[in-house]
Amino acid sequence: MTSVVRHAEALGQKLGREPVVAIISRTPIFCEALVEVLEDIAEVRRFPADAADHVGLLRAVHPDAVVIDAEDGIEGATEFASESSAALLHISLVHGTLRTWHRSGWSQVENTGWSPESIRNALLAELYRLDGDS
Amino acid sequence: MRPMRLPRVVIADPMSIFRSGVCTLLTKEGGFDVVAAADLDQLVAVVEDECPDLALIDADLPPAGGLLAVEKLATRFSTACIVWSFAPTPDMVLAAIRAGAHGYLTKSISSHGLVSALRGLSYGEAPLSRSLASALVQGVRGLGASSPVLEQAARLSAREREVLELVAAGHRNKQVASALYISEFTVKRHVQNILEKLELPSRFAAGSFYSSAVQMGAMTPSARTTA
Repeated sequence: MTSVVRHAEALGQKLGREPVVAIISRTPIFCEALVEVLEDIAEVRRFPADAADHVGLLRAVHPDAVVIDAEDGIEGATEFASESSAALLHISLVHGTLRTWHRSGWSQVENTGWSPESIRNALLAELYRLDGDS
Repeated sequence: MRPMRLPRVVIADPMSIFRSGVCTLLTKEGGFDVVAAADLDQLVAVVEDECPDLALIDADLPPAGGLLAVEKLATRFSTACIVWSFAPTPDMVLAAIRAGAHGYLTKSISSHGLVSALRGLSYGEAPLSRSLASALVQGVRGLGASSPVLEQAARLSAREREVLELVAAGHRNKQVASALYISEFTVKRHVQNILEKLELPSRFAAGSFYSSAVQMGAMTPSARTTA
Protein backbone atom coordinates (compact mmCIF):
# COMPACT_ATOMS: atom_id res chain seq x y z
CA MET A 1 0.00 0.00 0.00
CA THR A 2 1.49 3.36 -0.93
CA SER A 3 1.87 6.16 1.59
CA VAL A 4 -0.55 8.26 -0.47
CA VAL A 5 -3.26 5.63 -0.14
CA ARG A 6 -2.51 5.28 3.61
CA HIS A 7 -2.79 9.06 4.11
CA ALA A 8 -5.99 9.18 2.10
CA GLU A 9 -7.42 6.32 4.16
CA ALA A 10 -6.53 8.15 7.36
CA LEU A 11 -8.36 11.19 6.04
CA GLY A 12 -11.30 8.98 5.06
CA GLN A 13 -11.44 7.56 8.60
CA LYS A 14 -11.63 11.08 10.01
CA LEU A 15 -14.39 11.97 7.59
CA GLY A 16 -16.18 8.68 8.20
CA ARG A 17 -16.29 8.07 4.44
CA GLU A 18 -14.16 8.32 1.31
CA PRO A 19 -13.34 11.92 0.38
CA VAL A 20 -15.45 13.13 -2.56
CA VAL A 21 -13.65 14.99 -5.35
CA ALA A 22 -15.50 16.86 -8.10
CA ILE A 23 -13.68 17.50 -11.37
CA ILE A 24 -15.05 20.25 -13.59
CA SER A 25 -13.29 19.82 -16.88
CA ARG A 26 -13.28 20.98 -20.45
CA THR A 27 -10.48 18.54 -21.27
CA PRO A 28 -11.73 14.95 -21.03
CA ILE A 29 -8.27 13.45 -21.60
CA PHE A 30 -6.90 15.36 -18.59
CA CYS A 31 -9.89 14.07 -16.65
CA GLU A 32 -9.11 10.46 -17.65
CA ALA A 33 -5.60 10.75 -16.24
CA LEU A 34 -6.71 12.39 -13.02
CA VAL A 35 -9.56 9.96 -12.35
CA GLU A 36 -7.10 7.07 -12.79
CA VAL A 37 -4.92 8.29 -9.88
CA LEU A 38 -7.78 9.48 -7.68
CA GLU A 39 -10.01 6.41 -7.92
CA ASP A 40 -8.14 4.49 -5.22
CA ILE A 41 -8.36 7.26 -2.68
CA ALA A 42 -11.59 9.13 -3.36
CA GLU A 43 -15.04 9.02 -4.85
CA VAL A 44 -14.71 11.04 -8.05
CA ARG A 45 -17.54 12.93 -9.77
CA ARG A 46 -16.98 14.48 -13.20
CA PHE A 47 -18.80 17.50 -14.60
CA PRO A 48 -18.37 19.15 -17.99
CA ALA A 49 -17.13 22.73 -17.89
CA ASP A 50 -20.05 23.87 -20.03
CA ALA A 51 -22.66 22.67 -17.51
CA ALA A 52 -25.23 25.34 -16.79
CA ASP A 53 -25.14 25.61 -13.00
CA HIS A 54 -21.83 24.65 -11.38
CA VAL A 55 -22.75 25.94 -7.93
CA GLY A 56 -25.99 23.96 -7.97
CA LEU A 57 -24.18 20.79 -9.06
CA LEU A 58 -21.50 21.22 -6.39
CA ARG A 59 -24.07 21.93 -3.68
CA ALA A 60 -25.89 18.75 -4.66
CA VAL A 61 -22.75 16.57 -4.55
CA HIS A 62 -21.06 18.48 -1.72
CA PRO A 63 -17.49 17.40 -2.53
CA ASP A 64 -14.57 17.78 -0.14
CA ALA A 65 -12.43 19.05 -3.01
CA VAL A 66 -12.99 20.55 -6.44
CA VAL A 67 -10.53 20.42 -9.32
CA ILE A 68 -11.28 22.68 -12.27
CA ASP A 69 -9.40 23.07 -15.55
CA ALA A 70 -11.64 25.69 -17.17
CA GLU A 71 -12.16 29.40 -16.74
CA ASP A 72 -15.95 29.08 -17.21
CA GLY A 73 -16.78 27.41 -13.93
CA ILE A 74 -14.33 29.21 -11.67
CA GLU A 75 -16.80 31.72 -10.31
CA GLY A 76 -19.22 28.99 -9.27
CA ALA A 77 -16.44 26.81 -7.87
CA THR A 78 -15.01 29.64 -5.71
CA GLU A 79 -18.50 30.49 -4.47
CA PHE A 80 -19.00 26.89 -3.45
CA ALA A 81 -15.50 26.56 -1.91
CA SER A 82 -16.02 29.75 0.11
CA GLU A 83 -19.35 28.65 1.56
CA SER A 84 -18.39 25.01 2.17
CA SER A 85 -14.65 25.18 2.99
CA ALA A 86 -13.97 22.60 0.28
CA ALA A 87 -10.47 22.51 -1.19
CA LEU A 88 -10.28 24.06 -4.66
CA LEU A 89 -7.55 23.62 -7.27
CA HIS A 90 -7.54 25.50 -10.56
CA ILE A 91 -5.34 24.08 -13.26
CA SER A 92 -4.66 26.02 -16.42
CA LEU A 93 -3.39 23.48 -18.91
CA VAL A 94 -2.86 26.21 -21.50
CA HIS A 95 -0.66 28.37 -19.28
CA GLY A 96 0.81 25.53 -17.24
CA THR A 97 -0.25 26.95 -13.88
CA LEU A 98 -1.75 25.39 -10.79
CA ARG A 99 -3.27 27.45 -8.00
CA THR A 100 -5.31 26.85 -4.88
CA TRP A 101 -8.16 28.88 -3.47
CA HIS A 102 -8.17 30.05 0.12
CA ARG A 103 -10.55 32.52 1.63
CA SER A 104 -8.05 35.32 1.08
CA GLY A 105 -7.68 34.50 -2.63
CA TRP A 106 -5.62 32.36 -4.96
CA SER A 107 -2.12 31.03 -4.25
CA GLN A 108 0.13 29.83 -7.01
CA VAL A 109 1.54 26.34 -6.50
CA GLU A 110 5.05 25.60 -7.76
CA ASN A 111 4.97 23.83 -11.14
CA THR A 112 4.89 20.21 -10.16
CA GLY A 113 5.88 18.52 -13.40
CA TRP A 114 2.31 18.07 -14.55
CA SER A 115 2.02 14.43 -13.74
CA PRO A 116 -1.36 13.14 -12.55
CA GLU A 117 0.35 12.04 -9.34
CA SER A 118 1.73 15.51 -8.61
CA ILE A 119 -1.73 17.04 -9.05
CA ARG A 120 -3.22 14.35 -6.81
CA ASN A 121 -0.59 15.13 -4.17
CA ALA A 122 -1.33 18.86 -4.35
CA LEU A 123 -5.00 18.02 -3.89
CA LEU A 124 -4.29 15.78 -0.89
CA ALA A 125 -2.09 18.49 0.64
CA GLU A 126 -5.02 20.91 0.38
CA LEU A 127 -7.42 18.40 1.94
CA TYR A 128 -5.00 17.91 4.85
CA ARG A 129 -4.53 21.63 5.26
CA LEU A 130 -8.27 22.19 5.47
CA ASP A 131 -8.65 19.21 7.78
CA GLY A 132 -5.99 20.77 10.03
CA ASP A 133 -7.81 24.11 9.97
CA SER A 134 -11.13 22.60 11.02
CA MET B 1 -0.89 -17.79 -39.52
CA ARG B 2 0.74 -14.61 -38.24
CA PRO B 3 -1.29 -12.87 -35.54
CA MET B 4 -2.58 -9.46 -36.57
CA ARG B 5 -0.65 -6.66 -34.84
CA LEU B 6 -2.62 -4.01 -32.96
CA PRO B 7 -2.20 -0.45 -34.23
CA ARG B 8 0.71 1.04 -32.27
CA VAL B 9 0.28 4.65 -31.15
CA VAL B 10 2.93 7.00 -29.80
CA ILE B 11 1.69 9.94 -27.77
CA ALA B 12 4.28 12.74 -27.87
CA ASP B 13 3.43 15.45 -25.37
CA PRO B 14 5.54 17.44 -22.90
CA MET B 15 2.79 17.30 -20.28
CA SER B 16 2.82 14.04 -18.40
CA ILE B 17 -0.88 14.41 -17.60
CA PHE B 18 -1.75 14.17 -21.32
CA ARG B 19 0.59 11.23 -21.91
CA SER B 20 -1.04 9.44 -18.98
CA GLY B 21 -4.55 10.42 -20.06
CA VAL B 22 -4.13 9.05 -23.57
CA CYS B 23 -2.36 5.89 -22.35
CA THR B 24 -5.11 5.26 -19.77
CA LEU B 25 -7.87 5.89 -22.28
CA LEU B 26 -6.44 3.70 -25.05
CA THR B 27 -5.50 0.91 -22.67
CA LYS B 28 -9.03 0.91 -21.21
CA GLU B 29 -10.52 1.03 -24.69
CA GLY B 30 -8.31 -1.81 -25.93
CA GLY B 31 -7.18 -2.45 -29.46
CA PHE B 32 -4.07 -0.24 -29.33
CA ASP B 33 -0.46 -0.61 -28.25
CA VAL B 34 0.54 2.68 -26.66
CA VAL B 35 3.96 4.21 -26.09
CA ALA B 36 4.86 7.73 -24.96
CA ALA B 37 7.48 10.39 -25.64
CA ALA B 38 8.05 13.76 -23.94
CA ASP B 39 10.14 15.52 -26.60
CA LEU B 40 11.41 15.24 -30.15
CA ASP B 41 14.47 13.12 -29.29
CA GLN B 42 12.34 10.60 -27.41
CA LEU B 43 9.77 10.59 -30.22
CA VAL B 44 12.37 9.85 -32.88
CA ALA B 45 13.90 7.12 -30.70
CA VAL B 46 10.47 5.54 -30.12
CA VAL B 47 9.61 5.69 -33.83
CA GLU B 48 12.95 4.12 -34.76
CA ASP B 49 12.58 1.33 -32.16
CA GLU B 50 8.88 0.61 -32.15
CA CYS B 51 7.74 1.60 -35.65
CA PRO B 52 4.38 2.97 -34.47
CA ASP B 53 1.57 3.28 -36.99
CA LEU B 54 0.26 6.54 -35.53
CA ALA B 55 1.74 9.50 -33.68
CA LEU B 56 -0.31 12.02 -31.71
CA ILE B 57 1.99 15.04 -31.41
CA ASP B 58 1.57 18.15 -29.27
CA ALA B 59 1.95 21.37 -31.26
CA ASP B 60 4.36 22.67 -28.60
CA LEU B 61 6.50 19.54 -28.43
CA PRO B 62 9.97 20.54 -27.16
CA PRO B 63 12.40 21.69 -28.26
CA ALA B 64 11.08 23.38 -31.41
CA GLY B 65 7.39 22.54 -31.76
CA GLY B 66 5.28 19.76 -33.20
CA LEU B 67 5.54 20.87 -36.83
CA LEU B 68 9.25 20.22 -36.90
CA ALA B 69 8.55 16.79 -35.45
CA VAL B 70 5.94 16.09 -38.15
CA GLU B 71 8.35 17.20 -40.90
CA LYS B 72 11.08 15.02 -39.47
CA LEU B 73 8.84 11.94 -39.23
CA ALA B 74 7.16 12.55 -42.58
CA THR B 75 10.47 12.49 -44.43
CA ARG B 76 11.95 9.45 -42.70
CA PHE B 77 9.16 7.18 -41.50
CA SER B 78 5.74 5.87 -42.49
CA THR B 79 4.14 6.77 -39.15
CA ALA B 80 0.94 8.79 -39.70
CA CYS B 81 0.97 11.96 -37.60
CA ILE B 82 -1.83 13.90 -35.97
CA VAL B 83 -1.05 17.23 -34.30
CA TRP B 84 -3.10 18.42 -31.34
CA SER B 85 -3.20 21.62 -29.33
CA PHE B 86 -5.42 24.00 -27.41
CA ALA B 87 -7.33 26.55 -29.52
CA PRO B 88 -5.52 26.15 -32.86
CA THR B 89 -5.85 28.89 -35.47
CA PRO B 90 -6.58 28.17 -39.17
CA ASP B 91 -2.93 28.97 -39.94
CA MET B 92 -1.69 26.44 -37.40
CA VAL B 93 -3.91 23.71 -38.86
CA LEU B 94 -2.87 24.54 -42.40
CA ALA B 95 0.82 24.63 -41.50
CA ALA B 96 0.54 21.22 -39.82
CA ILE B 97 -1.16 19.67 -42.83
CA ARG B 98 1.48 21.18 -45.10
CA ALA B 99 4.23 19.84 -42.87
CA GLY B 100 2.84 16.35 -43.46
CA ALA B 101 0.29 15.84 -40.67
CA HIS B 102 -2.64 13.55 -41.47
CA GLY B 103 -4.99 15.42 -39.17
CA TYR B 104 -5.37 17.99 -36.41
CA LEU B 105 -7.34 17.70 -33.17
CA THR B 106 -8.07 20.03 -30.28
CA LYS B 107 -6.99 18.97 -26.83
CA SER B 108 -10.54 19.42 -25.59
CA ILE B 109 -11.65 16.48 -27.76
CA SER B 110 -13.88 13.92 -26.02
CA SER B 111 -12.45 10.54 -25.08
CA HIS B 112 -14.76 8.86 -27.59
CA GLY B 113 -13.76 11.40 -30.26
CA LEU B 114 -10.07 10.72 -29.75
CA VAL B 115 -10.49 6.96 -29.94
CA SER B 116 -12.60 7.30 -33.11
CA ALA B 117 -10.05 9.66 -34.66
CA LEU B 118 -7.18 7.26 -33.99
CA ARG B 119 -9.13 4.26 -35.25
CA GLY B 120 -10.14 6.26 -38.34
CA LEU B 121 -6.53 7.21 -39.00
CA SER B 122 -5.46 3.58 -38.86
CA TYR B 123 -8.03 2.96 -41.65
CA GLY B 124 -6.65 5.80 -43.73
CA GLU B 125 -9.04 8.59 -42.69
CA ALA B 126 -7.81 12.13 -42.03
CA PRO B 127 -9.11 13.13 -38.59
CA LEU B 128 -10.02 16.74 -38.08
CA SER B 129 -12.16 18.11 -35.24
CA ARG B 130 -15.42 19.47 -36.64
CA SER B 131 -14.59 23.02 -35.55
CA LEU B 132 -11.21 22.74 -37.26
CA ALA B 133 -12.64 21.67 -40.60
CA SER B 134 -14.10 25.14 -41.09
CA ALA B 135 -10.87 26.68 -39.82
CA LEU B 136 -8.99 24.72 -42.44
CA VAL B 137 -11.36 25.89 -45.16
CA GLN B 138 -10.81 29.49 -44.00
CA GLY B 139 -7.09 28.92 -44.07
CA VAL B 140 -7.21 27.50 -47.60
CA ARG B 141 -9.39 30.42 -48.73
CA GLY B 142 -6.81 32.81 -47.34
CA LEU B 143 -4.04 31.14 -49.33
CA GLY B 144 -4.39 33.67 -52.13
CA ALA B 145 -3.37 36.35 -49.70
CA SER B 146 -0.68 34.23 -48.16
CA SER B 147 2.76 35.66 -47.62
CA PRO B 148 5.97 34.61 -45.94
CA VAL B 149 4.80 36.45 -42.82
CA LEU B 150 1.66 34.30 -42.56
CA GLU B 151 3.57 31.11 -43.17
CA GLN B 152 6.32 31.94 -40.72
CA ALA B 153 3.83 33.01 -38.03
CA ALA B 154 2.06 29.68 -38.38
CA ARG B 155 5.28 27.88 -37.46
CA LEU B 156 5.28 29.39 -33.97
CA SER B 157 3.80 27.42 -31.10
CA ALA B 158 1.14 28.96 -28.86
CA ARG B 159 3.74 29.65 -26.14
CA GLU B 160 6.19 31.18 -28.63
CA ARG B 161 3.43 33.50 -29.82
CA GLU B 162 2.86 34.65 -26.25
CA VAL B 163 6.57 35.25 -25.72
CA LEU B 164 6.89 37.09 -29.04
CA GLU B 165 3.98 39.36 -28.18
CA LEU B 166 5.59 40.37 -24.90
CA VAL B 167 9.04 40.78 -26.48
CA ALA B 168 7.49 42.99 -29.16
CA ALA B 169 5.89 45.08 -26.40
CA GLY B 170 9.40 45.76 -25.10
CA HIS B 171 9.41 43.37 -22.15
CA ARG B 172 12.73 41.98 -20.97
CA ASN B 173 13.17 38.24 -20.41
CA LYS B 174 12.64 38.59 -16.65
CA GLN B 175 9.34 40.40 -17.18
CA VAL B 176 8.21 37.85 -19.78
CA ALA B 177 9.07 35.05 -17.35
CA SER B 178 7.04 36.67 -14.61
CA ALA B 179 4.04 37.36 -16.88
CA LEU B 180 3.90 33.77 -18.14
CA TYR B 181 4.88 32.02 -14.87
CA ILE B 182 7.88 30.35 -16.46
CA SER B 183 11.61 30.59 -15.78
CA GLU B 184 13.90 33.16 -17.37
CA PHE B 185 15.87 30.29 -18.85
CA THR B 186 12.75 28.97 -20.57
CA VAL B 187 12.03 32.44 -21.96
CA LYS B 188 15.57 32.63 -23.38
CA ARG B 189 15.05 29.26 -25.05
CA HIS B 190 11.72 30.39 -26.53
CA VAL B 191 13.28 33.62 -27.84
CA GLN B 192 16.08 31.62 -29.44
CA ASN B 193 13.55 29.28 -31.09
CA ILE B 194 11.46 32.23 -32.29
CA LEU B 195 14.47 33.89 -33.92
CA GLU B 196 15.48 30.60 -35.55
CA LYS B 197 12.00 29.82 -36.85
CA LEU B 198 11.47 33.33 -38.18
CA GLU B 199 15.06 33.53 -39.45
CA LEU B 200 15.53 36.87 -37.74
CA PRO B 201 18.72 38.31 -36.28
CA SER B 202 17.44 40.14 -33.18
CA ARG B 203 14.62 40.83 -30.71
CA PHE B 204 14.10 44.16 -32.43
CA ALA B 205 13.53 42.42 -35.77
CA ALA B 206 11.15 40.02 -34.02
CA GLY B 207 9.19 43.03 -32.73
CA SER B 208 8.86 44.38 -36.30
CA PHE B 209 7.80 40.94 -37.52
CA TYR B 210 5.13 40.82 -34.82
CA SER B 211 3.69 44.21 -35.90
CA SER B 212 3.47 43.02 -39.53
CA ALA B 213 1.89 39.71 -38.47
CA VAL B 214 -0.75 41.53 -36.43
CA GLN B 215 -1.49 43.90 -39.31
CA MET B 216 -1.94 40.95 -41.66
CA GLY B 217 -4.17 39.11 -39.20
CA ALA B 218 -1.66 36.29 -38.77
CA MET B 219 -1.40 37.00 -35.04
CA THR B 220 -3.88 38.43 -32.57
CA PRO B 221 -2.80 40.57 -29.61
CA SER B 222 -3.96 39.19 -26.27
CA ALA B 223 -5.48 41.05 -23.33
CA ARG B 224 -1.99 41.08 -21.78
CA THR B 225 -0.70 43.77 -24.12
CA THR B 226 -3.93 45.41 -25.20
CA ALA B 227 -5.21 46.11 -21.67
